[in-house]
Order: sequence, then structure tokens, then C-alpha cells
Amino acid sequence: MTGKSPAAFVPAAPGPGLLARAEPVSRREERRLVRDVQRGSAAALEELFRREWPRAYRAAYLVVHDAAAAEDIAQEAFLAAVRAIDRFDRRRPFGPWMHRIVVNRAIDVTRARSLRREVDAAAANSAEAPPDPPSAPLPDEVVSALAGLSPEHRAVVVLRFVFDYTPGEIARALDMPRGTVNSRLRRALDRLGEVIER
Amino acid sequence: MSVETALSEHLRDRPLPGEAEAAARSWPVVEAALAGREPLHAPAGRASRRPVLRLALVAALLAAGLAAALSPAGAAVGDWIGDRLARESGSAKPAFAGLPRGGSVLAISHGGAYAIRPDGSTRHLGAFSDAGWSPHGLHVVGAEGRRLVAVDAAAGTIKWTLTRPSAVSHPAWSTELGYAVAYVEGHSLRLVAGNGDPTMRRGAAPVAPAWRPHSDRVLTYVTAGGALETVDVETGRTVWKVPASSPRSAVWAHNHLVSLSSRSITVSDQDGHAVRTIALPGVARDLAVHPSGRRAAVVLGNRVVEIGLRESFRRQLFQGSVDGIAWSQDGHRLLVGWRNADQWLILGPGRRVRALHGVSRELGVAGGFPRVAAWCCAR
Repeated sequence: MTGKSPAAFVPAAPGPGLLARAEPVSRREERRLVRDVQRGSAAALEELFRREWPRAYRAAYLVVHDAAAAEDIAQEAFLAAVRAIDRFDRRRPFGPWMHRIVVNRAIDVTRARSLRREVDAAAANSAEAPPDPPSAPLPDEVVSALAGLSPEHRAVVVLRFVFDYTPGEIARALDMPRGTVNSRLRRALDRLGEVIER
Repeated sequence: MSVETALSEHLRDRPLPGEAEAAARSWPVVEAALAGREPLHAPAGRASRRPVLRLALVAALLAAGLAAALSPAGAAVGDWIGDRLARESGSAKPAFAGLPRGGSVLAISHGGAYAIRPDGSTRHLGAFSDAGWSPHGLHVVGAEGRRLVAVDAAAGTIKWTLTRPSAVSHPAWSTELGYAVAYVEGHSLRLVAGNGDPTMRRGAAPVAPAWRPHSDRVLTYVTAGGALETVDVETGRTVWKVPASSPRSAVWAHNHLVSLSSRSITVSDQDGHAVRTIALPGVARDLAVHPSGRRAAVVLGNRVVEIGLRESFRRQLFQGSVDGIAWSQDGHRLLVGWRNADQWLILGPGRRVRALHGVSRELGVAGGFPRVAAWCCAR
């Protein structure tokens, strides 16, 4: 996050999933965990991982729509966090810092994949073997409709509706004008709303 | 319920595929990253004593230095303090010192080939693009443009060289006494042996030849047409030849040949009969057969997957930008080159992971990432 990130930039409680879910960590508890990780405590890191992994993975998955890529992205985000943990300002919340890494990386990966598909299509005749098949999509109309949006739109949706960030916070996280965030949210809601209301 | 609320609940609550498995695979890697970093602050618990001790040592040395500065021997003591502090501050173990005992690793980067010992010491062997160990790990044979070079791995001295008219590649030292080295020159399979440097076959694919275990005589190579042919190098006769799907790697393990094609693994008996074909769920890039010959690690895209060669099983070991894999000689560990993180990972039993950090830096940044080529004598 940028230095201007407000204290209200707090992620929403995680939803149920395959992992055991933890209660939202209090700011004081989070500061303690980060401090202990900075001191080299694996137990504190494990606690942060247990709390943040489901959200990091979910955010990545909902942007890239591929389980293997989501795993890569979430893992890389945690590794980046570990590498930079000594420089982390404990007065700022940890989750948003992580979410920003995840979502921006997920956008980059999705863009790179689109580019590669174009190149692959151009070189299809010379391809030695087909690429890895994508992981099985979720049999879900809403998620499928989300996949039909651009990665930047998906990222905005994920930050707004999975993490409860305000448009201003999303604008700072993705480094884009607030007006752009609002227009993308509007367009995404139009598309996804049609599916939900069916 | 508004559209926003419904969408929010939907996206938060929907179970996702592979989430728990991904967490189980990723946690050891993240934990290893923490273990490998050097904290700026005092670590919690027992380890926190170390910096305190270091500070105490510095204080004691400074005190000793101040006292000595008042005496005629002050300059000498000052030097001693400087030496001691320099040694203390530079005493971090090299990344490669984390390698387990039992063998050396052959790594290849843009800067050439390196032999890396478990004590962390490294030896640059030459500007090789391909290289392989001799049977007992005493020597390395490397390909450098048109030259084939044999090097003493410990001393780094050149034992012999051979220059050919065309570029050479994929050298493979015979596996019994090490009397012969097979290699590919252009489209030919050639041999360096006591009786000269004969062409064994014309029409070879750029794939490393595979010697039968404990053999200086029988080897298998991939033909330019994508078949597998086994040759008796003493007589020059074909032992057997079978069609194959253009293998990109072939390895003998005990009495079976394991060949890797882009989408499958084939296990053949010693007469070339396929006894098992395993379809792969992705494009294969690399293969490391376990010393037992019962399983193999395969790089599929950006995943390392362990696959049963006798029984049907498959499990993912790691996911990331993998560059080179090799089993330890005892088969207990798999060494994985992880390019994007500039780490080597040692995957051990019970999902234990040890990370060796900053491996490029260790060899000099100009060389780039060192690909794991082979772990000495593991076969």
C-alpha cells in the first residue's frame, strides 16, 4: 500500500473454504505477528500464512481463473512478503499489503498469458505440442461471467466484493484514477448482475 | 438482497479447486524462505542470544583495542581487531554449505559449469554448455563449442581435450570404468575411447546418450527420426532398435530404460520392449529417475511431479520456475533449481524443504542462474 493508506483499509472477514478459517486478526495481534516474523519466528509466520493464504489464493484465482497459476501467485506473494518483512512498517495493516502484491501480480500473469496465446496462435503450425490444459473451471455462471471480464476489471471486482475495499482504496492499490475504478465497477456489476438476477 | 451483496457472498463463499493442496505445498517453501533469511532484529527464543553474543564480542574487542591503543603494541592489536571483526561480519555460511553430505552437484550457468561440494566450495570447470560426471565423480566431461574437455573435478585441471570440426554436445561418460565418452557432434553419435574417436552412428538427435548401468560397452541413443537404438560400441552392431515418440531424454535405471517424450514416459526392458507407457498431464521438460528405478521426478511446465514407474501414482512436489532437478545418491532428497527465487530447494522426506538462497550471487552474478545438471553418482 502507499503511505496514504487509511486505517480503514481492512479486509473483510474471510468466507468459508477448504482450509480451516481463522477469525479476522486484530490489528494489535497482526502487529505482534509481523514483529515476531521480523525476529525470525516460524510460528508467527505460520499463523500469518494460515490467516492470509485463503484470501491470497482466492484473490489470485478469481483474477487468473487457473488453480496452478493462483498457487504460483499466492506463493510468490508470500515469498516477497518474507523477503521484505524487515522493511515492513508495522503501523500499517499486513493484509492489504499482501493483497496488493497478489492482485497486481495476477493482472500481470493474465496479461502475459493473453499475449502468449496470441503468439501461440500465430505460430500454431510450428508448435511441437499443445500447451498445458487449463485447470477445470468452476461450474458456476457468476465465476464464468467474471472470467469474461478483463483482468483489470476482475481485480477491481475482487478487491471490492471479496475484500470490501472502497473505490478510493482500490484506486491506490492498483494505481489508477478513482473514476476509472468506479466505471469498471459499474460495468462489472452490469455484467455480473445479469447473471445473478437470472 | 442487492446485487452487490449477492455477488460479495458468492465470490467469498464459493469453494475453490486446489486451495488446501496448494497451501500444503506452499507452506514449506515459505517457511524455508524465512529460515534462510538473515533477520535484522534479534530472533525470538533461543536464537536471540546470538546477536547479543556478537555484540558482547564486539564490545570486548573494542575495549581491548582501546586499552591496547595506549601501549606500544596498539597498532598490532588494532589490526588483530580489524581482522577479527571482518571475519565475524563475513562469517555467514555460503549458500551451498547447506547441501547435504554425500556428493557434489554439477551446475551449469551462462558462465559455464561448476562443481559444488557439500562444504559450500565451488570449482569453475570451464565454459561448458553441457557436462556430465565420470562414474565415480572424479572427473567431469564438458562440451564447449567444438571442444570436448575432461577436467579433474577437484583440482580443476584439464585432463584431455578433443577438438572436432563441428559443435559438440551432450557428452556422457560410460558407467563402469569410465573408458569411453559418448557425445553428439552435429547429427552424429561419436565416441571417445582408447581405440580412437570413431563415429558410431550418423543421424542422431541432440539428446544425451544413455549408457547401460555399469557398462563401458552398451549405450542407447535417440535417432534423428525419433527412434531408440541400443548399440554395442565395441562391435558397432545394433542390439535393438524400436520406434519411439522422439524422446527428449533417455536414462537407464537398473535393467530398464526410461525415456521421456513431450507427453509420456515409456519404461522399456533391456530388450527394448515397452513394459509401461505413462501419459503425462502436461508438456514434459526434464526427467530425473530415482536411484531405485521405481519412480521419477518430472518437470511438467512449471511443476515438479513425482510419478511411479512400476506402480501407478502421481503427486506434485513443487510448483515454480524450475530449472534442473537431480536426486541425491541415496534417493532421499530431490534437488530443485528454482530460477525466479534464485534458490535451490532440497526436498526431503516428510515434505521437508531446505532452501539454499542466492545461488546466482554465490557463483557471481554474471553467470546467471546455475541450473542443476547432476548430483554426483546418483544413478
